[in-house]
Amino acid sequence: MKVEVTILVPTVEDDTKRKHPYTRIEDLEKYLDEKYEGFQGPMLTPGSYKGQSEESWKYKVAMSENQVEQFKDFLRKYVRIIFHQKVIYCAIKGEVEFLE
Amino acid sequence: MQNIYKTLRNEIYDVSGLSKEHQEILKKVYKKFEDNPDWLEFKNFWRAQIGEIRKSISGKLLVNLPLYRICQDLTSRLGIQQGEIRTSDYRDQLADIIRLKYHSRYEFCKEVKIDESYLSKTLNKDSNISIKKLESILSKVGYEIRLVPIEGNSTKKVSDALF
Repeated sequence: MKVEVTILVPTVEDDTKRKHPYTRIEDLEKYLDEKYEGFQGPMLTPGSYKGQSEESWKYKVAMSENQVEQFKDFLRKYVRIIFHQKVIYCAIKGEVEFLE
Repeated sequence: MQNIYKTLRNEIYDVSGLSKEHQEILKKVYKKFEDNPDWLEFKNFWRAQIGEIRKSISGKLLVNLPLYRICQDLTSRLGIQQGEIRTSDYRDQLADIIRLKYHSRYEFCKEVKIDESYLSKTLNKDSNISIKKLESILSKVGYEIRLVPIEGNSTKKVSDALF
């Protein structure tokens, strides 16, 4: 059974407010394509959570239930750090988590 | 005859070596690219074009296809041109290494024996680091400097390389 996970990746670094270098986006999307059979998006969305006022790129990633924890780990330990964020928004089956 | 495409990351692909199917897709994608569409719209476009390919091969094979990497690279060029993302330099790479491998800049600086304010100035482009110093720092964390040709984001170069 597949689960759809929605993530928001802010378009700027949280600390410097600079745009991201292209390498981060390429690496993230390559990873999603390689490990999780691809993704939908990204779609530009307004930021409005946890003090995040900048726009974000919204990705929807389909995966099996047993891949979810590993994916969340990837968001915490790689995406959050490389994209210079305090938290990463992640929604699974309508439940929102802010991964620190 | 070879038709070489070089990505912003200096990966080199021989476009004439692609299969007929992949060349046809690339032609369509490149035509779209020439219209300078929004970079996210362009991304959706080429991802739809490779939809059939992805059904028949693993994700690992897909992301290593020259077609995939060239399409990704064209997207990055559009994103940079449109000001949505930026180019990358050694400072970004160094900052990423530090963020991924160390709990803090302090911890990194302690290990490689440099002053933290000097590192901050370097990463913020307020100070330049000598090659000797950079080499010394990188060798301590398992990296080295490599020289690569300068690659701009000019579409003319892309056009020359493709068709």
